[in-house]
Amino acid sequence: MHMGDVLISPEVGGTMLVAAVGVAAVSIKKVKEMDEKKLPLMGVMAAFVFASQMINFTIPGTGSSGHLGGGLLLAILLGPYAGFLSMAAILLIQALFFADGGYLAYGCNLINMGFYACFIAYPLIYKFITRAKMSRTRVIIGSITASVIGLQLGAFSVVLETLLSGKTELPFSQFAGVMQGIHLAIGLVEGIVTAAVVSFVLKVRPDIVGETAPNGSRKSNKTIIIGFLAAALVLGGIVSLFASANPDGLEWSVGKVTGAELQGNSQVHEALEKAQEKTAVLPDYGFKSQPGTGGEAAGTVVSGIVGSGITLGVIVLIGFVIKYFKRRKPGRIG
Amino acid sequence: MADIIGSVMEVKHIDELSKQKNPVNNIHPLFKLILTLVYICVLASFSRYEVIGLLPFILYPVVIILVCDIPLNKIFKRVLFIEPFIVITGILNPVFDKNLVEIGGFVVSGGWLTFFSLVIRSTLMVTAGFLLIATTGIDDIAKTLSLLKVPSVFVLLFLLTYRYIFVLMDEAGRLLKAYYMRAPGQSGVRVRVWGSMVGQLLIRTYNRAQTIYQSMVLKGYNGRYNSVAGKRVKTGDVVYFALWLAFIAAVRIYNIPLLISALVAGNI
Repeated sequence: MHMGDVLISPEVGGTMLVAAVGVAAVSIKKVKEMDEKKLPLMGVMAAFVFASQMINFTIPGTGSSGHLGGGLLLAILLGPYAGFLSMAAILLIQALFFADGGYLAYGCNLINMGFYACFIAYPLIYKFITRAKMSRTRVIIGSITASVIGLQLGAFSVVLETLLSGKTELPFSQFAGVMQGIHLAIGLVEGIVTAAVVSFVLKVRPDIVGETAPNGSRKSNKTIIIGFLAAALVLGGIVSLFASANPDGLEWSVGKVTGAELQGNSQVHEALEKAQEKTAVLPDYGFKSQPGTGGEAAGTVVSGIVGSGITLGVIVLIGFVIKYFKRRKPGRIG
Repeated sequence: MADIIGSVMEVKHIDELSKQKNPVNNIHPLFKLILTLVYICVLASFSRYEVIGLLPFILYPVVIILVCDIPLNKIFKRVLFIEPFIVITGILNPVFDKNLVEIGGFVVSGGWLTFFSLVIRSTLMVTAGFLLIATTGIDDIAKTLSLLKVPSVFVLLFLLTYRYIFVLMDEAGRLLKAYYMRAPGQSGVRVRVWGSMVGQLLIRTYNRAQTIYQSMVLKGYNGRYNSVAGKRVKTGDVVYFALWLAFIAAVRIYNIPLLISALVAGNI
């Protein structure tokens, strides 16, 4: 589910980053109000999620195996705000050190994997199901339902963000179908593992999972729901903003799905391309003012290749120069 | 399992790379972070059909790799890790986008252009991200986060998580070793022990967190992260930053390979 930078446009990435930072700011405020004891627990639990991802679970009946994602488990163990922040730390480390998710896509990833798990799946589904009694059955049903719904929402966000960015040609319906389908399976495994872990801990050390239960008194549950509604409004506003500000991306994805407007759209793209070329290349060096190249079109292609070749050649040359100087001054630089 | 332990070792190695002495490692981390973000954003801002205009951007990673002696195989590993996904999402472009794009007379399928554009871009973006970490290191990243007014709660959480990943991986590794030694020839952990295995690890982690908290309090922890004063901004940092920024701006505004072509054609 980790999105890379390449499929994201700066507009989508930036907007999602602002949304994610907003949720994180609220969470930090809430965590500061809690006792300071929680911080080491949050850090170690985030590291625990990393460690538990090493463990491959064989899925019964199939030859395949899966591992834990961790968003829901963190929310159950730490509560939604601390869980979201731990997820933010995990995703930042994954982006920085493991190339798992991009820098520009960080906001998208945090919303897709942290927000839905901690602020929708956990409070509205898991907590609702286990509200009356923390029994084994309720924990199992709650975890599985919550993690399936959380991952479905996350997967759908991935589809929306990718299509709004307009970097790939994937048609909406097929892309959404594949993503939702794959994440149904992933959500089931995630839910079952989460359920198994929580019910084990509930049996052996009920204080660990029980500790967050009284926290979720009616009052705090209400604030969570209000927070969620506010966030949903903000997100809805952002999406509609995109619909008006970036008709190109949306029109394009809708056009793909309906199969219509293909032609018109490519014209838009070509026009944009041409406009960009006009602004990009200095008029003096433009293709039009090239008397030397008789068959202008063919000439530009050949010289386009020449230009690319020279550009790469210069880069290689600079590389050699750096190497040469490094060899000469090994003490200073190397 | 070996893969993950391997990649954790890899992370340690990256951190060591950032401790080497070279001009780029000495640059103030804030500038490097902003530069990396600008580089990625500018790459993302190109049109889907751009291929030739992306080529000059290769200069940035080439210079840093050579100046800092970054092992190329590490970069290949990362790029290869991410590339299959890009190829899967991009390989259908030629199927769906049958629009013919005219580039100076040659008719190329738009789908192939977008596909190559995606591959080049993702390679450059992943490499740029890697180079930031390989020349900066976790401590400097944390200090930069504080400089950017990221609340200290989060900075501390980020550092704690990073530190304990290694400890807990070790713990999980021992747990798994014990399991596999008693269950030879098994590819994964059986469903019956899912809960108890991860649960055990979780309880140990929980207990460890309490010990950590106590020792932090004994050492004067009061809920705040006091970072040591970071590096000071030098003239060289500003020059480095300004030069790269100018380069990125230039190659974004002007399509350098096409300009060179026009010049060459003009002279002939």
